Amino acid sequence: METHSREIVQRRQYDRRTGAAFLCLIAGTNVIPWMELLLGETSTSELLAPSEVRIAVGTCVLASLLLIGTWLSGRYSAIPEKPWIRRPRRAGLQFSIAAAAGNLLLGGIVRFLGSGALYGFPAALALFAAAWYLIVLPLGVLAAFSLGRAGRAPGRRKEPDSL
Amino acid sequence: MVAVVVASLVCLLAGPYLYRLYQRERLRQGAQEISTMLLAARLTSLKLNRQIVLWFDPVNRVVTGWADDPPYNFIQDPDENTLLRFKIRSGIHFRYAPGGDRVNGPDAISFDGYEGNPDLVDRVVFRPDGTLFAPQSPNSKPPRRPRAVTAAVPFGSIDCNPDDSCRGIYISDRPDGGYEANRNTFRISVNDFGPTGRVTILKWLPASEGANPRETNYVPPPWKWVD
Repeated sequence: METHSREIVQRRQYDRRTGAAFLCLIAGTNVIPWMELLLGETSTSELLAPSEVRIAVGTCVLASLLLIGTWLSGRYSAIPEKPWIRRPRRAGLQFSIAAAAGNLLLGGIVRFLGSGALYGFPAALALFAAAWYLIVLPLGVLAAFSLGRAGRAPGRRKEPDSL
Repeated sequence: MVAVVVASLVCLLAGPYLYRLYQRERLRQGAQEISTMLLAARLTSLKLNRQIVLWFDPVNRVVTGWADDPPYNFIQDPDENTLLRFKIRSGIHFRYAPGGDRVNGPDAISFDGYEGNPDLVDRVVFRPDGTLFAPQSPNSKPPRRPRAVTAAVPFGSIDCNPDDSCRGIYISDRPDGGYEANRNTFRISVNDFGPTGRVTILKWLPASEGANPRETNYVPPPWKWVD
């Protein structure tokens, strides 16, 4: 009985570490499209406005805080009887990958097209921000919550046998 | 602990991006400021209907403008008051590309030689009607149009060959040394093609980035950066 509960505690710790790693993946890739957007603007003759830099950097910082907050909320909030995320590990993994892929895709599009080449920088910023806030950020938040919840639930997989 | 790790990772990823952004913006701002000074000098000449001399002192990183009175010696005499004064920001270097001998070298500010006097260097002179008083030194010739207009060398580009001799104020993001193609250099000039008084900011396009063969091309935006 004692061995079993120790295994569960260890499993939880593994899951928390895995969750933290995926959280880093999401927060890290969040930076890429925003910075590519700013760097793309340097190919034009218009100087960057301080507000544009503030928006990009501030968004990255706030998104990181939001992700950490959501992860903690998933970790410490009570689990309802009928949770809407039934398999938090799998959901966390899938949402994390989707958010990271979304970030990389957006970054790639910005790099390929040039941030202001088609519509000018303000319009490009608005389009980009809409896509990021409406798609990528919610995916990241869902992933963070699921990963936090996964760190709470008892482990499913067995520990490898010690030799 | 998790918060610290996430914040560290975000900083680690954003740091190099922000540093590149800072370097690029510093050079672009330097180019814009010099361009603004040239425009201000030209407008002052039109407004006052007098000859304006804008003298670049690359060593002290100061630009000074004054109204040149007869006998029009292009030198600031005691009775000629300073009308424009501007400090060049740090981190940008007056240096020509390609080659570009050294920082603050003779080709770095190629507005040299007036009225047969080769010692009158590093100064842009506007006549009372706002047109450029053409410098005469061999390194201060007007540029040529590129032989071919391509995607990399679009309309509005120039060719500084033969002998890399076209006038302009050249600023780079790197001081002496380093691989040449890794240098970003802007050329700020006026009256490239015709007496319109138009101030242009062009960026050097290394051969590896698609410049025309046997040409030294400076191109308008969108610019390619090497960093």
